Amino acid sequence: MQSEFEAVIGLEVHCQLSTRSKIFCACPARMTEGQSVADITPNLNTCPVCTGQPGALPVLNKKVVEYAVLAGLATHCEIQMHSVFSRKNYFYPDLPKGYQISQYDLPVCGKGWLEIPGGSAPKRIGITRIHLEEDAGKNVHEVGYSAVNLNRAGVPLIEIVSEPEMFSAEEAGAYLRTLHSLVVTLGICDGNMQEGNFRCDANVSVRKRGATALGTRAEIKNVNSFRFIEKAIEYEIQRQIQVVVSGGQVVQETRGYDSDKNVTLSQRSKEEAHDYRYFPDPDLLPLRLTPEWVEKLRGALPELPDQKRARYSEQYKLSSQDAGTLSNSKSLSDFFERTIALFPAGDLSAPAKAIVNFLTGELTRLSSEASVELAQSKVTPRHLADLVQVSLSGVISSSGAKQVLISVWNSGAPVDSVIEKEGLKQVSDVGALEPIVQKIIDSNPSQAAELKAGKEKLMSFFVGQAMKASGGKANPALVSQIVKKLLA
Amino acid sequence: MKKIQSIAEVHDGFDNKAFTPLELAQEYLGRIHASQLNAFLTVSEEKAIFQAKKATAELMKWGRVPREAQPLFGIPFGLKDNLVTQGLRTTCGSRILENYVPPYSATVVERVEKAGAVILGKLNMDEFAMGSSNENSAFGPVQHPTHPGYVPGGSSGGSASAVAAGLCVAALGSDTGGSIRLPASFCGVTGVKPTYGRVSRYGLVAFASSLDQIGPLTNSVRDSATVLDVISGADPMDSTSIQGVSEKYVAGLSAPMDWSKVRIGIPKEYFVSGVQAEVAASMQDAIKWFEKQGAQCVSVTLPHTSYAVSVYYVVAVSEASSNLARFDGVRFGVRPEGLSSSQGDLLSFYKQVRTRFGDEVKRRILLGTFALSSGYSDQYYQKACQVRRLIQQDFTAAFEKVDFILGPVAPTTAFKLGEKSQDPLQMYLNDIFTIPANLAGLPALSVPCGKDSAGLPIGLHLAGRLYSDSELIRIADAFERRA
Amino acid sequence: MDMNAISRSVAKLARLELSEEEVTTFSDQLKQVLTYIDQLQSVPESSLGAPLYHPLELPTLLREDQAKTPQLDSEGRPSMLSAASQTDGLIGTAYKVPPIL
Repeated sequence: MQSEFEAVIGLEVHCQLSTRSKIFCACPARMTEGQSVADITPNLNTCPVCTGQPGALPVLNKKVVEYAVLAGLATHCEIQMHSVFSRKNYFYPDLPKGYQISQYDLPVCGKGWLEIPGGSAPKRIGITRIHLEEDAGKNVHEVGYSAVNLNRAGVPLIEIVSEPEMFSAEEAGAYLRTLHSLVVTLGICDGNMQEGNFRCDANVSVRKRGATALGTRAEIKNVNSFRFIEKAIEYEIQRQIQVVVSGGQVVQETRGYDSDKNVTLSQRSKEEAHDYRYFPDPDLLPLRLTPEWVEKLRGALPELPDQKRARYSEQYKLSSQDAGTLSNSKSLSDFFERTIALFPAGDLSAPAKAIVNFLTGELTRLSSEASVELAQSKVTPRHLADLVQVSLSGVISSSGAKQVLISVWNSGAPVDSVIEKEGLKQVSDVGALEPIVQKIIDSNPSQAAELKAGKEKLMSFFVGQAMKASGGKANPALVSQIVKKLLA
Repeated sequence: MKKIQSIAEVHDGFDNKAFTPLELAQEYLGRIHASQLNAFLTVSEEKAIFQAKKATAELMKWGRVPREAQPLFGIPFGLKDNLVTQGLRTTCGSRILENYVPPYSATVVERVEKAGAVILGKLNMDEFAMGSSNENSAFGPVQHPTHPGYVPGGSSGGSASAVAAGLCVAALGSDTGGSIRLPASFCGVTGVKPTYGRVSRYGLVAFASSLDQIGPLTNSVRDSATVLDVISGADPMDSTSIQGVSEKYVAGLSAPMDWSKVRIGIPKEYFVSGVQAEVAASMQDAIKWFEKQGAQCVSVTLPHTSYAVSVYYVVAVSEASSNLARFDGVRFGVRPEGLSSSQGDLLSFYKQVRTRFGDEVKRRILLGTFALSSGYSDQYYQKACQVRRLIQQDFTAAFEKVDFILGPVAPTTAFKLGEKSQDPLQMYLNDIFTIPANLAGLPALSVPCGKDSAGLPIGLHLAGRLYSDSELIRIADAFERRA
Repeated sequence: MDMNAISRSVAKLARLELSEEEVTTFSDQLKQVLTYIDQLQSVPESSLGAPLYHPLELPTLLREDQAKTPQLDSEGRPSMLSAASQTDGLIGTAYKVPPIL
């Protein structure tokens, strides 16, 4: 029944730009490593401008403009040589001036697109616009009062608005991961979702499959992890389908996500419709870019994830899946690059594949279990390169390799000493393995006969038995050679 | 001690040891305390005495006024109360800021202090600079300096009245639609609204940001030039301040005038019925004088003048409705006591705070909110900005033929307190001749040019091209010295 | 145009409280001003072009990205707090407002 519906999703992403100072004043926009401006003493990080003292005026941070342009260039947006800051008027205690300085009808970046990994081929998602604005402060709600902290007020944001061109929670998730990796690669956003560096609002609607008009949308606000956003969208899609199926109508509203219960909840609709009364901010004149400036910024773009993905496929013959996973994560691709660089030039497709397998498998698991960033762990590219080398040359088995990796993760000890200490070297000595294999053949005569008769599948049975008998140290490739030889 | 002194007279007095900066400051503070004009809202006696003592000690050391480094050395100075002063109460003539002690100072305040001015205090004004008569101050109207019962003009009425009455030698005001020039005209002093962007607005509590400009009110054009030399010039804190080298106004005064090159435009739209006969006659005298010097006076047309008041009111109140949103009682200003026991309703908190705005301010916030609101903004705000372009183009066309535009500052001389306060529209129409310069950003000034039969001063209004402040001041100075 | 209704809704947007009496007074005054301002509608559409929002048609000023650590006041508090109500305006160094629902 549900398959007669399709979901349509558009995303609005707010990225805090990692400039030194705020967008319109010289107050710091970020603290030292690992500290958010929101964490320090409330209102320590404020001045007349960002507290909206009477008479204070905004002056635009040049770096903020450059970061927005970089984001636009990386998403193939039309860069607007003339853009305008407008005031969005509304009252809220965390909004010091009673208006937010934002961009309205003339944003700094117009239409563009972002390619996300898809099932068989990458999919292009349209970007409507990217505009600059200032962040608000933070209200902390207590019993009987609220406390307003303006440390974050005036931190620069870009809002990246997508077209409603995603049709599932997974696509939305892929878009967000791709965008996240992009802004982090560009070095314009720290990307820490817990701290709100990268925030997302999702507009979700459903419609009968084949319909062209959009259904009424609900907006899911402020979800702070990829996984939760996907779950929230998935929940919301199902909820809306239920509403429609049971004869109801979806209400246009803002909904919050409760991650404990995995539900979206209507946030009490505002008692009045918003009327933001946008008009050009007379304290700021239009922002003018020059083609020279934009070209200079284009020249400064780092290699972008989609370029990286293409290069990985070309240079290392990685599958599009592997190349996509790597290029979408700055930490994985950085680690990959540093590891593969340790191999001598030549055909690197085998070590590349092996590196990717370790990175996306065991290392990702270890890193997420321990909540330690790969770059901060004890495992170095040198470790990984050594491990790949001994694995490919058959010195250790694949299960042995896993064991080594866990050991290195915990201790940081060199790979060869771990192999030595834990006795993980494979037995690759024909003389030592032959009697073991012979014994297995002797005790399993019928299987031996069937294998000999051509039932190749049974080879794994003999290899498995040999591994067991050798305590996991037998080199499986050698074992199968010996079985063939003895049955010949 | 002479009641009205120019900056040069004060400096000569210091050099000749006729009085010290401290003695002078004490004299002026004494006058302020004795005055009934209600021109000062806050007297910064301690600060003034401190600055004056310092100046006195410096004078002793140097033996002469350091005119180059400190053009306002020891000058008793007043500031309109919408210029923020760190540590010194700044009310904007409003109950909502009755207790506001700013944590920073306006750029112009820092500049006049650095130039040696002795700050006597903060001058009364229409609340948030919204008014033409000074009757909208929450702290009572300012009296006319020579004619009790008459208004001094607004909104910089405190500044004009104080300068005219010798309560300070020079003052700063702000001009959004005529708020420097109108009171200067009514009180018989000089008032200059520089080209928009010549003077930093950082620390000027905004009324309408695209129109507001700070300028001097003084007893002579030369004194205004001295003050302008100090306060004008690029400010990295104001995006709308003009970057680059600023002009030298006083230096420009010493060059001789070449009148044959001066062309003055007389807009026919400014000489219509409704202008008081004595005012019109005074304009004719001024025109004759300029012609006698050899200037060409020609008729010009500014065809969209009749729309100026409408455009102005829509633009000014729209911007004001947004500029005044920050007065919410959260971070500064007066707020209802006993917040946590006030049954915690944010909406009623806002309303209780903002009810302290006066009626004229509320009226303008309402009108501005309406003019920007969805469904009406095309008809009002956007349309007004389109017509604003036509008014600007009127001037562009006129300035192809002439260098200056001459007219009265206001249709009438000062009127009586209470005469127009019940009729907002009549009050708005006072500003008909001053508003266009704000809409187009042009430099304009008021210089005394006579008196009516009641002895009330008449002001001559001169406006110039964008950035022609220096030339404008030169001809005004020549006119002022005509006698 | 129901001016009273407009006054009420605009007052709400602007967070101004008006008594019924004030609604009537302000509405009358606004109506009078609007009637005057409506002369703008008589400007021929053909003569209207791009709006002029600001007298300076220049590009906006740009600031280098240099951070300046905000100063503390003499009591070691964030210096902006001196302007807040000292009796009921602060909770620690945060601004205190009625509970936000």
